[in-house]
Amino acid sequence: MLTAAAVAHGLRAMESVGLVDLSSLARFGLKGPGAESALKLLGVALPAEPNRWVAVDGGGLVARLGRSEFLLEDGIGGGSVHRVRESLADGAPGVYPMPRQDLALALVGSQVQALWDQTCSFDLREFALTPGLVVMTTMIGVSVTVVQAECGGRAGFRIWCDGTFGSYFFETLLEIARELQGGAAGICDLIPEAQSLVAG
Amino acid sequence: MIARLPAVPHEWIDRTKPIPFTFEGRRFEGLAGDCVTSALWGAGERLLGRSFKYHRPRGVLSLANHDVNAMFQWGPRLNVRGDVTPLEEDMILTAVNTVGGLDADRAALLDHMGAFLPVGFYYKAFHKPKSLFPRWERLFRSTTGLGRVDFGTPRRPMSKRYLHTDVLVVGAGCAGLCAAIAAAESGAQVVLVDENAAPGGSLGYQRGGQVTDTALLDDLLSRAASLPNLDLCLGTFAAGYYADFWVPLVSAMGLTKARSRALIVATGAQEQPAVFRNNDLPGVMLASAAQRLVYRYRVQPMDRAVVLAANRDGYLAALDLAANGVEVAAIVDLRAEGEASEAGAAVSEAGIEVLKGYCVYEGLGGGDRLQSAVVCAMEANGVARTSSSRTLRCDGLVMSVGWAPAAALLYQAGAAMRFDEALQQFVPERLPDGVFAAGRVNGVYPVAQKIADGRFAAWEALAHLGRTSQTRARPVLRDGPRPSHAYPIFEHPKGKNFVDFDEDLQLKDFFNAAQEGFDNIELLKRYSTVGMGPSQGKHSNLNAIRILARIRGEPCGAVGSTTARPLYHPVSLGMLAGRGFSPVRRTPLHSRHEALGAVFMMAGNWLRPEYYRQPRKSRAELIQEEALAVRTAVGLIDVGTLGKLEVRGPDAAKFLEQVYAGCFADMQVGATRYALMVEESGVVLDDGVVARLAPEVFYFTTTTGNAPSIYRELSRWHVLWGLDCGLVNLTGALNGINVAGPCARAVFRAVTGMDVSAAAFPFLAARVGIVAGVEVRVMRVGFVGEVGFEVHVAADHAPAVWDALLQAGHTYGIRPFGVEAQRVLRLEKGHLIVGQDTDGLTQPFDAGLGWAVRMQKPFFVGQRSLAILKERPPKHVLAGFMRETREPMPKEGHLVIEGGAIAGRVTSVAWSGTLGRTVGLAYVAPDLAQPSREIRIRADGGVLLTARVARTPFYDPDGSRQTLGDGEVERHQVESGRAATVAVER
Repeated sequence: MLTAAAVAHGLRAMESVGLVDLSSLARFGLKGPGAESALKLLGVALPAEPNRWVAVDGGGLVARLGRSEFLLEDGIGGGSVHRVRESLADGAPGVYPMPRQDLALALVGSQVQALWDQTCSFDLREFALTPGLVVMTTMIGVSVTVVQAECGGRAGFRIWCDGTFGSYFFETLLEIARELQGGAAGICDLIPEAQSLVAG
Repeated sequence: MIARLPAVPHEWIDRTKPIPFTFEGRRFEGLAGDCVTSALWGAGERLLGRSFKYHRPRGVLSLANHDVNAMFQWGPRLNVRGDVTPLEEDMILTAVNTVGGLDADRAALLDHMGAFLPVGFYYKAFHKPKSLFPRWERLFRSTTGLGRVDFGTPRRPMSKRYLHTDVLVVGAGCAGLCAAIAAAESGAQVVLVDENAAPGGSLGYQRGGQVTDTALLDDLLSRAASLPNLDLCLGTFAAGYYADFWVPLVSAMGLTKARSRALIVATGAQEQPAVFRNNDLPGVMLASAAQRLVYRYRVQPMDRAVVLAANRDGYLAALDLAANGVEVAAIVDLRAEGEASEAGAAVSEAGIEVLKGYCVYEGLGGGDRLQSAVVCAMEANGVARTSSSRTLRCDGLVMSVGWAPAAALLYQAGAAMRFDEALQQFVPERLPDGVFAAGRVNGVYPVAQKIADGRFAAWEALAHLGRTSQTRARPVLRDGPRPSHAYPIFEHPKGKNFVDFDEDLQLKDFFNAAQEGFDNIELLKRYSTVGMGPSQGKHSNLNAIRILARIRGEPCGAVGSTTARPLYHPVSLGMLAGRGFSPVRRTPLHSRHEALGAVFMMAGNWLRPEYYRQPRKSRAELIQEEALAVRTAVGLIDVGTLGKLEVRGPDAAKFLEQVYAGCFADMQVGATRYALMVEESGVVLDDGVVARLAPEVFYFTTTTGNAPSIYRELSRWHVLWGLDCGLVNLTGALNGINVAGPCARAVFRAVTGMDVSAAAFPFLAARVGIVAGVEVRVMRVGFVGEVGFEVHVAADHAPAVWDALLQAGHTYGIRPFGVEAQRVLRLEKGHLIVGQDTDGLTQPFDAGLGWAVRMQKPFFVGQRSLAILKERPPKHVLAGFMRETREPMPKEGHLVIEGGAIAGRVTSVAWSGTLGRTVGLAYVAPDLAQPSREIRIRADGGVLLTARVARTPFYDPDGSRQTLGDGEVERHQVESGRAATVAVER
C-alpha cells in the first residue's frame, strides 16, 4: 500500500533525478529478415529506419535496434507485446524471437544531465538533433539502449540493460542520484494510472 | 595586520577575510584568495623550501604551477604546490624534503658536497663491493622522494564526468578569451578553461606600470559573461590530449573528460629563467612571478630590484615594480641595443638606469636570501667580461629573458613544431584537423596581434565545424620584436648556475653529460634527468636544448625537443580512479543463494556461490560435503552464468558446423553434443553443449567467462558468411539450473509431467517441457559425472523452478553446491575447463580433445591450422596425476620438473573426498604421460613432490553413473565407494 510519505519521497526524488524501475512492463524482441513484415502483419507501427523509435497506443513503444531487429514494450495497460509474443514466440520463417529480461528504467528530473555526465560518454545533445533517436551505448560499463521520451508527463530518458546487471546498475545510479538529492521513485509516482493496476 | 599594496582592479584577494594558518610550526595570516606562497611571501617569508638534491634554500620562481621547490605537506596531502594552492583556514603546512625542519635542514650539508655528486654519479658508483649495494639502496631510497605518504589516508571518492561541447578553448588569456568570444558569438557551444583562479592571463598582471588600466580585460570579461553559450571553467587545467578530441580537465571537483569537435589551444608561454651563479637564491624570480605577486595578491615582492631583461616584457616588469613601491636599482639588458619601444622610453622617463649589453654574473646572498647582484658587461660572444663587474645591492632580481610555449597539448595532438630562429621558440608548423593555436603558444606576443590571432583561431574552428563558409586570409603575425634571448646562459668557474631547479642540475652537468656521449636530447634527458622532476621541464627544457645546441654547434631546431606526454600537471590517483565502475552480474537466483548462506566469488564479472556456509564447518569441509552430496544423493547448482545462445534458420546447422570443430548437421532433434571452438590458429577458444531443439533451431552454451566475446565473434562470422540464420544471445534472458546425482531423476520427476525415464530421456538428450508450471529447456548432461538434468528457464521464472527442485529434493537430502565443489567433481571426471586447463597456446590434440574435432568436414574455423598441427608431434599433453596424501598439495601453476628442467605445469588440482586422493591435471612432456609414471612437482618453497600419472576419468571411468536407470540408484549408492576404489586402482 502506498503511503503519503512514500509518494512524497518519490515525487521529491523526481524533482532532482528520479530512478523509476519499469522492468515489470511487458516487452519482447524480434529479429530476422521476416521480422518487419511479421510485425506489420500484426498491425504494429514501426519506425522507418534503424536506431529510431515510435510511441504506440497505451504508452508503449517500438524501437528499431537495427535493420531487422525490434524491441517492443507496452505501457501501463497496453497489450501489443502480449499479442505479438503469442503470435511469434515460437518464431516464424525469418523471424527469430528474442525474449527480453531487461532492467528497464526511467530517468526523470532536472538533474538527469548531471547524473548522465558522471555515467555515460554519449552526448545527450544528439537527442535534440535527431528526434526519435535510439542510442546503444555503455553506461557505467554496461551496454544500454537509451531513448529520450516523456515518462508520465515528465521529460526524461528510458534505459534498458541486461537484467543480470540490474542490481549493479540500479544501485550505482541510485548512489549518484542520491548525491544529487534525487533517488528512487515508484512506478505509481511516475505514472499514477499504474496505481489502479497495482491495487487491482 | 596584513601588509598589502593598495587595492587595484582584478586583484584576487579578499581583504575582508583573513585566513590563519601554520607553516613550519609558526602561525601566519593570509587573505582569502591568496595562494600559500603569496601568503607566506606577503608575510615576509623568503625561505619556502629546500631543493631536491643539494637542499639549497629556495623561494618563489614562477608562481605558475612549477615552483616545485616550494611544496608542502598538508596532513595526508603531500607535495602541495604553494604557488597555486589556495590558502585555507587552519592549514598546517611543513616544507617537504628537509631533515630537521626548513630553517635548520641538516641535509643542507649536501650543498657543500656537490663536487662529489656530479650528474649521473649514481650510475657509476656504489656497484662495488656488491655486498654494500643494499645499504646504498636503502640510503638513497630514504633520502630521495618528496613528501610523506600516509597509507592510512581514507579514500575520497571523486566522480569523473563527461562534457561535450562544440569548441573547447584552453587558456583564458587574451588570445583564448578573444577566440572563445568569437566562437560563441557565432552560436557555437564553447567551453573555456583556465588553470588560474581568474581569467585574463597576462592582461591581469603585465600592466607596464598602468596599475589601474584594465579596460581591455574588463571589456573581454564583460562580453564573455554576456554569452550564455560560453562556459568559463576556472581553476581547471587541461591535462592532456587524447585521440578524437578527448581532453581530461582537472579541477578541485575532479576529472572531467571533455570532448569537443574543435580545440583551440591558447595556453600561452612559460617564462624561462636565465642561468647564472646563484640564480636560485630566494629573491631571484621570473618577472612574471613578481608581477603576479604584485597584481593578483598585492604583495610587494621585494624592496629593491635588479631587472635582468632581454625583451620588452622586462621593461614592462620594471615599470610595474616601480609603480608598486619597488626601487628598481637597474635594468640589466642582455641586448646591446636596449629596448626601442615605448616601454624603453617609459623606463628612461622613470629614471631607471639601464645597463645595455650587460648580464648578471652571479647573485650574492646571505641568510638564505639574495643581497646583491654582480653584473658584467658582455663580450660580443656573450661571455661576461668580469673586469667590468659591478655589484648592485638588491633583495630581488627579476628575470625576463624569454618564453617557452606551453605546447604540450599541441605535441600530444600530433602537431608538427619547428624552431623559429627569429622568435627563438618552437611554433606550430602544421596542426591536426580541428586543432588550432592562438597567442603566445603560437608565437604571437603583442596584445593587438593576440586579439587578431584569437579571432582567427575561432574562425578556423568555426570553418572546421561547418559553421562558416567565408574565407579569410591568415593575418600577418609573429612579426613583433623578439621575445626570447638566444642564449641567456652564463658560465661561472664556481658553478651553482642552475638550469633545472627540480633536479639541481647545473650548467656544467650538461657539458659533462655531452662529454660522456649523451649528446642527443632524449639521451641527455635520461642521463641528466633534466625535465624529469615534478615540473616536467617547464622551466628547464628550452635552456637544455639551447645548451645542447651550442655544444653540438647546431641550431636548436636540429636538436629537437623531448616528448611531452600527458598528464601535463600531476593528477592525483584518486581523481584518475574516480568512482570506479566495476560491472557485476548476478543471476536471478542471487537472493536464493544469499538466503542459503552462499559465500560468493567472482567468475568473470559474475557473482557465483563458491560454497554455502554452515556453522562450525570450514570451507574445505563444506566443499567436500557438497561434492559428496552430489556423488551419493543429489545436488543443485546455479549455472545461469553460462553463455546461452540460439541460432535459428535454414542455415543454422551449417553455421554451427563452421564455427565449431565438431559435427552438428547430423544431430537428431532432441539430442545434445559437446562442442569445441578453436581460433583460426587452432588454439582452443571455448567449449559448450549444443542442443537441437527443432530442425532449424539450435540452443547452445559457452563458458561463463567467454560468453560476451564468443557472441561478438559469432556475430562477426554471421555477418561475414551471410548465412540464412539468426543468432540470438539469451545469456541474460534465461537461467540454467543443474540438478545432479543418483537421485536427480527422482527429484526432477517430482516437478515435471515429462517422461524422464532413462529410456524416454536418456543421457545427452534434450527436451522442451514444463517444470513447476513453467516452460523450460532441459538437457541431460553430465559435467559432474552423475545423472544430471540441466534446466534452462526464463530468468524471471528461475527462482520458482529452483524452489520447486529444492523442495522436491528435500526427502533425498538435496544440497545446493557451489563452484568449488563443481570443480572437484569435474576434476574427478577428468573434464577440463577452458581457460584453466588450456591457455593461449593449447590446441585440441595437446588437451586430449582430438575426439571432438572432425577434420573431414568441408570447413570450420581453425581447420587449416589444425591440419598442420595434427601432423606435428605434441610438445606436451594434458595428463592426470594422483597423490596418495592430501598435504602437502601442489598448486595450480606449479612446475613439473624432470632431470632438473621444466617438463610441464599443473593446471588443476584438488583433494577428492570420494577417491581419498589428491587428483590433478598437468601438462607434461609426452614421454612422461605414461600411466603410473612418477613425476615430480616443484611446490612452494622449492619442495619436490612426487605424483603418479593416472588415466582420466579418475572416477567412474566407464561413465555408468551418468546413465543410471531408476532401479539402479540404490545399488549404485551402496557401491559408490567401491566404484571410486576401482577407479583409483586403475
